Amino acid sequence: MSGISGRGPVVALVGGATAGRGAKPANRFVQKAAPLLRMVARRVGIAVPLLVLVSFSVFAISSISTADPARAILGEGATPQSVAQLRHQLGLDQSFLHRYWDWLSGVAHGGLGNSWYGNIPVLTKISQGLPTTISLVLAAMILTAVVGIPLGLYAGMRRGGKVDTIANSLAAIGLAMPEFWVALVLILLLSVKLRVLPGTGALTLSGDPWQAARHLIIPVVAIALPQICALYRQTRASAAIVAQQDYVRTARAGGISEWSLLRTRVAKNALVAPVTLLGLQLGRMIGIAAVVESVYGLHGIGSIAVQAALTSDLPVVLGVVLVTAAVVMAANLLTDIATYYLAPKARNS
Amino acid sequence: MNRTADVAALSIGGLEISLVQGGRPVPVVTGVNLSVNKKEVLGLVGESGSGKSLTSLAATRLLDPRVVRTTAGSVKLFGKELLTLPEAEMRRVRGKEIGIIFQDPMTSLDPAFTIGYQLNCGLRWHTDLTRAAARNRVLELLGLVGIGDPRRRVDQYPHQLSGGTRQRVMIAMAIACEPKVLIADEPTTALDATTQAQILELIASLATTMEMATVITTHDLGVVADVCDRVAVMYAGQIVECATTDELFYRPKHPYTERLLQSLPGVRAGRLQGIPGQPPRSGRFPQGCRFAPRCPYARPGCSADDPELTRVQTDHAARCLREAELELTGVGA
Repeated sequence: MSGISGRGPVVALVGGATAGRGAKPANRFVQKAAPLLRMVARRVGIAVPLLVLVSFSVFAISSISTADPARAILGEGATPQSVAQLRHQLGLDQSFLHRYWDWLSGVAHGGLGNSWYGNIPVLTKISQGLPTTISLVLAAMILTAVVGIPLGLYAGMRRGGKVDTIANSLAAIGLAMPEFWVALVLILLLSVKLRVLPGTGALTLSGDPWQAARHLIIPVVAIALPQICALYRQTRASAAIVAQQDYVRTARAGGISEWSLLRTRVAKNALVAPVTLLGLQLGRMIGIAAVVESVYGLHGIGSIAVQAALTSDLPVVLGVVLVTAAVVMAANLLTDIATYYLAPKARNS
Repeated sequence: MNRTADVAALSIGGLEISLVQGGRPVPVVTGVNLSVNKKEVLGLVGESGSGKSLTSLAATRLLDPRVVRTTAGSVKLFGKELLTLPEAEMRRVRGKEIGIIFQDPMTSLDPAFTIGYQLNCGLRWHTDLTRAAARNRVLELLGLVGIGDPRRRVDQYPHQLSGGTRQRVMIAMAIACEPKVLIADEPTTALDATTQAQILELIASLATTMEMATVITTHDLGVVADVCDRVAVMYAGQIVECATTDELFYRPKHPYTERLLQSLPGVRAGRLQGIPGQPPRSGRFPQGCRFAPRCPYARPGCSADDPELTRVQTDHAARCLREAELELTGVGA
């Protein structure tokens, strides 16, 4: 909704710039950024119906599930009367569309409803898990980008060199190992055998930040390792193609140093595909985080979602899905903005 | 600083370039001697695969050493040997002392950066101009190469420009730091006919006004006739004839040059004449004279002895065993 109403001012801005006052620097900036602003407005506008669609799908899937949430909550020994009473309380005796509409209007008023267990607001539950998951995924993203991209650029520029050969072998090994297995091996090695890092255990971000960071190291590495390998391979392939282009030779003919060449020309030209991949990896990392959080006993939205799904706690499942979907969409938008900056040729399409 | 008076701006001696992919290096350019003086435009003419581009690029050491390598000879810039120069010093030569224009302006400009940025690169690297001064210099350069409305163009990306304008940008990049030597590798091949003439004219006039020594490689004798002072004809990795442009066109001394001239449209009435046969594949040169298998004047002796590039007149040399006895036809004869 905010997206649709946000369209008005943007269009007005663009209109103002093309109206002929292009000489002023501020207006020139708007004029240059107009395609970008239009794209952002369009994407934000699409995001809202998309989120509705996602929530509707999850709602539909959960409603055709044979498990009765009321029975699951009350346990096997509950009387039919108490089950029926709870069904009425939760609104489960109403029609599917009616329930969905109720939920949706709740969302429109800024609430995601309450958990069916303990009547805790879903937003509170999510906000309890969010810091852990955000630190986990964000750290894994940064680690992935910081290792995968520079290594890929360098190896791609110098194909067949030492770095390239070694990194290729490591990447092949890394891609072959599943995350949960890596997580277990890391625990065995670093915390059980060597005792240098804590293994499992709840993470408190409010406490000593150093302790919190130590708790995060193993899970972050477990999540990031396969992604680093994938991103490295993508970046290397792109950089290898760019390194052979005529314009790289032109830059060399101008006397540029190999380091500047890599840092400016090759990087900007080669990063479109890796950045797109990184955006997709975010969604995947959030998914993997659910598994890794369970392995390490961390209290993030991944483990909250898993628990909610196992106990048929529909409001919590919906809330987590909605938040995750919004984050993934935001990541895609950031990817598109990055692509807009990196590939000027693709701007006007 | 009087060295420029007697020393050639760029001189190439005994140059041998070899393909090194897999196993032993295979020589594809052999024994090339060339020199260009200040204010002089030299045309390096030959078919695809004759080694003209390799020769011109070897001077800048921009060849990929994993594929091609300079295996012998020397390249001197005002007497300074370039082939043994450390890479860091060579970088100060590229762009600063030798400017290079590449063949295809569609692929030779970076699609991700504005032309202003790309022009600025060399200036930032080689001069100590301030940001504002460099920007002014970029605008000045765009005007110099005949691009209208530089203030708008400077912030545009290559895909927003026409082929001719892109080649003008390439030229502006090559001359940005006022190099003493300009190498243009097939600068007009990728352009349409009307644009070709304008670009050639531009290169020639810049060469004169900026007093550069210029090497233009081309397979188009029309290009040579228009702008070059001197011509070197390459065939199968060798220079077969070298002379002033008039000499070469009116009094060719090598059968290959004669055949090339005969295959120019408009030189002779009637059907265009081609040269029968194919040029030898790189590195698989025939014994003796490399042109002998296709030469209408070849004698058995031609395939036995290696002809030397011999001086037949002041500023005219040819690589033909029968040069003295042959009466070859030039244009206008």
